[in-house]
Amino acid sequence: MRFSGKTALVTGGAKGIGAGICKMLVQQGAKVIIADIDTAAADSLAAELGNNAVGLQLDVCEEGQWQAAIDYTESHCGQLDILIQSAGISRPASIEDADLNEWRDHMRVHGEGAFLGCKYAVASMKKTGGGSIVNISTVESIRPGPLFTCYGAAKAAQDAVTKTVALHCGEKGYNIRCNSVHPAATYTPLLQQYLDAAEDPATLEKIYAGMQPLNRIATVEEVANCVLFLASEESSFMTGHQMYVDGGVLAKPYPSGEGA
Amino acid sequence: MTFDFSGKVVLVTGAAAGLGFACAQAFVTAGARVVITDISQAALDKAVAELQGEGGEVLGLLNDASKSADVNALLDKIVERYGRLDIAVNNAGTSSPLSDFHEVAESEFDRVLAVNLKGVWLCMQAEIRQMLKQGGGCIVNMASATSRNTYPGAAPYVTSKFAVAGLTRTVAVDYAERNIRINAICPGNVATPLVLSMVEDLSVLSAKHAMKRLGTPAEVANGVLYLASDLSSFSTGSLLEVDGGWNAI
Repeated sequence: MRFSGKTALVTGGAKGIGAGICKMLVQQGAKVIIADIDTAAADSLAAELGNNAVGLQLDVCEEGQWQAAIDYTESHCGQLDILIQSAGISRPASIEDADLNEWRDHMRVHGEGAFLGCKYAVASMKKTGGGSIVNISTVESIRPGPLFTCYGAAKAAQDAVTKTVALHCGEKGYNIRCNSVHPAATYTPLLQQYLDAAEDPATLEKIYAGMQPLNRIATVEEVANCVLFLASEESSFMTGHQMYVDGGVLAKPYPSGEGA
Repeated sequence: MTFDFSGKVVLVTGAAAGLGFACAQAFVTAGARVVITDISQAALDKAVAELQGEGGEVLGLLNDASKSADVNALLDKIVERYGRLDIAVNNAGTSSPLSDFHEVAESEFDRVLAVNLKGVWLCMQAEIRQMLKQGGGCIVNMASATSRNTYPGAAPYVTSKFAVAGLTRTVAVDYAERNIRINAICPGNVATPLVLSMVEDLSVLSAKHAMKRLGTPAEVANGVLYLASDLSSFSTGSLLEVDGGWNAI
C-alpha cells in the first residue's frame, strides 16, 4: 500500500480534518499516532481505526509533551516518517473585538505549535534519513478576511515556519520536505458548529459555499487527499510549497463573498 | 499510489520529449487513452512507438499549438476518434536563449509568446468548447517556477509563464461552476532538452532549488496526474509548485 511501513503523527488528529487524515492514512497502510489535546477522543478514534492507530495526549503548546510524543513514536514505531500538524483553533473576531488573550491563544497554538512540532520532527527525522512534514494552514493566511485578525496572523506565522524549515532542511540535505495545505470552507465539526448556531443554517451554508468559485464546501476527504499527496513520495520534488485546496477562492478577486 | 485513468481520453501537447513525454508515459501507465502532439513528425513517431511499446493506446498528431486552425482541427480529430476529451495537459512550450533584455528581437518575443501563451490560450478555448458540450473536464497547464519568480536574461520565457499563470487562474474562475477544473503546474528545473538548450552548467540550476538538485520528469508528471485526478477535486485556479523549494527561497 501507499504508506506501508510508514509512521505518521497527526496533531489535532481526533476530530475534523485531522481525523479524516488519520482514517485515510490507516486505510492506506500507515501506522498512525493520533495526537490530540482531547485524549479521550483520540483513544476513541484509535479504537475505531484498529491496531494501526493509537491515541496520544498532546498539547502542541507544551514543549515537554512534544518531546514525549517523539520519544513515544521512536520507541514504539521505530521512527517518525510523517508529521501532519492539524491542531488548531479559530475564533473569528475583528481588530476591535479581539483582545490580547485571543491573540496570544491563536499565536501560541499555530505559531508556537508549528515551531515546536517542526523542531522536534526535524530532530527525529534527520536521524533516520528523512521524512515529510505537512502543516495545515488556511486560505486566511494568504488573504485574511476582516474577522481573521488573530487566526490569519497566526497562520501566516505558521506559514513562515513551514518555508524556513523547508529551506533549512534543503540546505542541510536532510531529505525532509515541509509543505503547507490551505483549505477554504470545509465540512468540519467547527463549520457545523457555526451552521448550527445560525438562525438560518441553510442560508449560511449557501453563503459559505458561494465564497468558492466551485460554489460548494469541501469535504474532509478532499482536503485529506491533498495532505496525503504531500506526505507521500509522489511529491518528492515539492518543498516549501503552499498548496491550495480552496475551490478556487484564491484565484478570485477579493472580496470573496459575504462573511469571508 | 497508482493513479487510475482507465478509459479517460487525455491530450498532452508537445509530448514527443521532455516533461510532456513523461506525462504521456504516466497517463499510459495509468490506463488512459492518450493523444500526444508535437511539431516534429519524426519525434512524434518515435514517442508514439515507445509509448505503444509500453502497452498504451496512443495517438500521435502533428500539431502547432500556436495556430488556431491547427488546434481546432486537433480537437475535431480527437472527438471524431474518441467522442470526448476528459483531460488536457497544455504542455507545448519553447525556450529562448538567455540574453540582455534590450537586445531581444521583437520577432523573438513574438515567437516565444506565440507558443507559450497563445498556444495555451488557443488550446484552452478549443478544449473548453468541447468540455462544455460533454458536461465537464479537467485542464492542467504547464506553467513554471518562473511563473512566480524571475530568471536573469529570460524575459521572453518568464513573461510568457507569468501570463500562463494569470490566464489559468482567471479562466478557472470563469468555468468553476461548469464542472471544468483548471490548474497549472510550476516545475522547477528538470534536465529536459528545453532546459539543456538554455543552460550549460546544471550545477548553477541545482543551486536555485532548496533541495539542491534538479527534478525528474516523473516527479513533474506525478504533480500533473494529481491535478488531473479526482484527488484534487476541490482545487481550481491553483498553481502547484513542483520545484524543489525554488519559490520558497
